[in-house]
Amino acid sequence: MSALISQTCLSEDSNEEKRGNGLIYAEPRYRTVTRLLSWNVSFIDVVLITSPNGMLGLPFLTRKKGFTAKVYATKAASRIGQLMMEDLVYMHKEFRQFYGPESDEPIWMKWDRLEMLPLELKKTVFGADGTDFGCWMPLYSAADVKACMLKVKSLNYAEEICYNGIVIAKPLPSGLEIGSCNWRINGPRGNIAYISNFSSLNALEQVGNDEDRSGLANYLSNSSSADVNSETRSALLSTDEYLEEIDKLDFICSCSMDSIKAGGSILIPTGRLGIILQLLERFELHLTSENMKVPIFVISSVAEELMTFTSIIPEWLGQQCQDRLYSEKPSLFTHTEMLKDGRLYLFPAIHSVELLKIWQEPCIVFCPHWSLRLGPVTHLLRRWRGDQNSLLVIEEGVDANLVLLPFKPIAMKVLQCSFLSGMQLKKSLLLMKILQPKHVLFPEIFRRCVDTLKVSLSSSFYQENETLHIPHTEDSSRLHIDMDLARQIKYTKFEEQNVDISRLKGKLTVEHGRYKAVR
Amino acid sequence: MAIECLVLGAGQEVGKSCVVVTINGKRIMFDCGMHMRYTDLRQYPDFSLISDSGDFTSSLSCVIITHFHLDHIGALPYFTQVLGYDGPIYMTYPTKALAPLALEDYRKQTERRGEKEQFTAEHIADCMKKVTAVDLKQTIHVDKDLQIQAYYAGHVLGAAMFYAKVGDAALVYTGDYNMVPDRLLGAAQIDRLQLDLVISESTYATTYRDSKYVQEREFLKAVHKCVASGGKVLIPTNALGRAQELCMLLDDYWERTNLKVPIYFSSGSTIQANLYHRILINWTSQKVKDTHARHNAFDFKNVKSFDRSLINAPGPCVLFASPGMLGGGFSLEVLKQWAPYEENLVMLPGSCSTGTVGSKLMSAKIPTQIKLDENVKIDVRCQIYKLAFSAHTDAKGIMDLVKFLSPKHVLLVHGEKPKMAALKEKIQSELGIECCYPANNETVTIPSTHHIEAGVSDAFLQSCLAPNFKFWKTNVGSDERTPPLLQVYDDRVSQGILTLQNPRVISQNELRDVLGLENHLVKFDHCCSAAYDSEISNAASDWLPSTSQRNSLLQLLFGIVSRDFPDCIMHDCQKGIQVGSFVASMCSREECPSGNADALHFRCTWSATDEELAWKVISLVKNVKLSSASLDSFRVLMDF
Ligand SMILES: [Zn+2]
Ligand SMILES: [Zn+2]
Ligand SMILES: [Zn+2]
Repeated sequence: MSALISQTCLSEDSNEEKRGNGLIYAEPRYRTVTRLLSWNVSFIDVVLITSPNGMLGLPFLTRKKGFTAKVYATKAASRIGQLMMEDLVYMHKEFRQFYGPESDEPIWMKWDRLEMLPLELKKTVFGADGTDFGCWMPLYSAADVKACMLKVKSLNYAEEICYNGIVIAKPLPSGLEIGSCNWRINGPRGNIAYISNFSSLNALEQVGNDEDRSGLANYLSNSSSADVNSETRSALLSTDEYLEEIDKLDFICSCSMDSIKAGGSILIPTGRLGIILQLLERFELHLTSENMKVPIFVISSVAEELMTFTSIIPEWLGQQCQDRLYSEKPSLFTHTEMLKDGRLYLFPAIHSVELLKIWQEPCIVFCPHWSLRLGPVTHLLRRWRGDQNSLLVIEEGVDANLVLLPFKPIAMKVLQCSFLSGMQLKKSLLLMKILQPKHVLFPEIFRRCVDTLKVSLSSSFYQENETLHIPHTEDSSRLHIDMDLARQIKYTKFEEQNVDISRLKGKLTVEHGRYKAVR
Repeated sequence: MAIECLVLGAGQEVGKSCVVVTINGKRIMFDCGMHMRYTDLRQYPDFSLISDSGDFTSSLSCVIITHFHLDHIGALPYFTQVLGYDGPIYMTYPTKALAPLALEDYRKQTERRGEKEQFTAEHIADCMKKVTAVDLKQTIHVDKDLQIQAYYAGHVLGAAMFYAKVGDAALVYTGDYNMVPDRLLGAAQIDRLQLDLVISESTYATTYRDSKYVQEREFLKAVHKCVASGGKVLIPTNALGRAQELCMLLDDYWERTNLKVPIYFSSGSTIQANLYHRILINWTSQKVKDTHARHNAFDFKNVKSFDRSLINAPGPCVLFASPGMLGGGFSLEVLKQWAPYEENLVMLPGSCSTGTVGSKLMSAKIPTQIKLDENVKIDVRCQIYKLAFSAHTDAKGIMDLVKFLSPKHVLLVHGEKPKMAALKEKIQSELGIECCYPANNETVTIPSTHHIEAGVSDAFLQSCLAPNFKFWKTNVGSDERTPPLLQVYDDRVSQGILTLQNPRVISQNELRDVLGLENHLVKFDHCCSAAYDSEISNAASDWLPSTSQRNSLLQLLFGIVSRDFPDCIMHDCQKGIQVGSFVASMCSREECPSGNADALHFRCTWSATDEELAWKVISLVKNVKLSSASLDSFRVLMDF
């Protein structure tokens, strides 16, 4: 069986110089899958990507010597992922222009300095078992990204690829981000679904429809899913979560309105395209209903490309956006209109001359980077941190205390908000009920929940750097015998054993996931 | 099993495309078009042939529409809203976006002519709501057994060929397609598929055409010449497709040559169609896609909207006005004003229905007079230019596609009868593929692929998939001095045993398990050849090895295997070597139980528990390289 890696993720640590606050002051370094360094990458046959974020570490892998695997991603994910990587490279370039280049071994990586690090940071730097230190890498280069993208084969949703004639993989929309997907992998001895997320609630991103899901189910289990009651099905498709999400966005908007009314500006550091697009839609509604004219800026080296890209991809969007395509005034997002009539501006960098010309406060700014260590956000945060009327919106999951440390004291309001970013366990169990797989792998962190819920599922739990062996679910492969060949079959009876057998002589072909015997 | 094709339209003609295909119990309607020549019910396919009861929803699995041209979609609102078909309908995203425009344009024209309308604006809107939009190459499971897939057809924006598969039977319905790329669109693109049938259009069944780039240049030259001498250019087109294509050419040309002459669009729906094209730019040609980030090709820089007062304004201009065949409406109105002046130019579309002003102009000798009705005549002194553009493939393209797909049968539609007959001959004689071109309302039945299914053992698959190289030498020519040519071929003919009860294919070696001959201990048995080098294999064909040769060969094997498996032992009587339950002994062509044809080879047996070990050792065994050097060592041993 082919070795499959799904997703190369990037975990990043942000470092700032020790200023009595225990931070390292240096260009950020990155760490990807720890094992990447010890793997023989030539043993990897296929890499499947599930989302734009899930490919940010890909150049680290593809630039390794001996890497020959096929990389598959959806067209939208690979385009957005590429832009995100290019933006990251750009921000690093800017960082170096600002603070000067760094030597091969930065001072903070010297042993005597490392000794002095506070305990928390040491843990991050060395990893839980103390083996991660060697994994910290400087970011890849623009050339690495370019070479990496040449190796990515991009697909439409539900477009099948056939590896080696016998393994078929197909990306199905997962509903999390534009272009994000779950993978269905069919082999002769069992079928696998890799579910990174299953969300039925996103209005902007395309969502797996019922047919796709039952497709998944059939292949995952080969058992009929017809007995799943419709209640379970509709629970999975409930709109509660969607409304909850809209509530959250509206809450951000109304907090923003309050700040703006008091003369403050809004700063939203995020790289998640889906969030930016949804917030733009909501902001437009709120500003219009309050009859306010406040400029919105998206500042990023790839802002223009991202927005242009999103205005031409109806195939990748949810029902709500598609309906707009079929309307009298076709446009996928409100931002097309907003750009035209000067309510929204896109700028590649904060020091653009054009930006300075039209800059006006209060305003709303979207810009990278969520770590608050790179990109336009660092400048804007310094500008507004003392203003108690301004508002900073950061995502849950980042340690607010840590990321804000270099900017303290801070008078600015901080709103930490969780955006929907995956499936809840309850929902995934519901999904399992529909799919009825023979075996499920859950992440280790789910172990206790799954145990306490007493789910009747054959399951095991995976964690980083561990290989699991899963038995074949099918007893044997199937062979299609062509009628022309089948006609030649003449059975001989073995009375004693009560078996009829025939000699079969032909040519075996492997095509599109199927063994075929032909004359 | 068979595939049944009921041709409801476009049989030996162009118009109202509609083919109903029954394939392994599933029934698919490809296209649901309208005939533009008629205004009564004859413009629709005879739907009653599908179902007597009129219950179309249960008699069809789905309807597939290939593109937005009315001869392919014109009857759809009538079929769904008046005749009540309520099942699934598939088309690409652009077709779903653009079809309502095309349908609405047509409806307004009939309304203007005061004819009885067959469907309303509401019908169109409600019909489109039932449509499922699909992307290219996306695999769509209509139901448990029927799978469809769209491929790029390059005919108009969003045009697609459709692949449909039920079980092993599969076909492709091409719709209209183009095999060469142009400015606006790429060429048709499809995978190599296993097909029983291809249903292809054949508009240009006997025509061979130049590249479209030449025609595009000619067109631009003609327009430029006219406006440069102060003339007005009238381009009668319908709102969709052709208008965008020509305008893109002009806008680009205007930019390059810095022309300032205004280009006008008269119709609101054309301007709306431009907006759709802008969003759907991913469906255009590679070049347009590549440059869209800098400039979206449908964001026309030199185009303005027209108003009536400009008809007689002085100075040159270019005007796009509908309808395309000058059958009435605004384009005819403008023609009346502009036709009498020599400096003006009228661009006529490739073909015009008989009876329209367009067709009269087509055959006219300038100057002339054209009679509109009893009282109105137009003096025509302007220049006439016939657009030779076509978005259809020519005969070479059809042949190329059929050859590429190599189906078992071809069915031609959407063409003229005599030309189709000529193409059929060509397909049958040159490609050796059965071909037919039924008339409307005829049914054709075509046999389809079928198979039986059985389980299959890993050992059988392994034996088939592992390369089985054979070598032999051939002497080239009679000259003794030229060295013989070594030929290698992969002789992978699969031989196995099929059991009737619980159908399963196994390898010969597994047979004894099935027959229960060695019930107490499941033993595996595999004969494998060593890798001979050329010289020895040549010798091997009629070589009868002696006992001592056998022994030395076994010793050679022992040396190799014991390097990796230190617990390997050599049997006393030199019968074989053993690791665990794995035993390898010498076997020859004469005594081989599994019919291995090599003069001398190894026979390996092992019990089920040592499966993994066995295959590891076998891989070593296979690598025992018998070269003439080792043969020499035999001799040495023998002499000794
Ligand atoms: Zn057409
Ligand atoms: Zn047609
Ligand atoms: Zn043998």
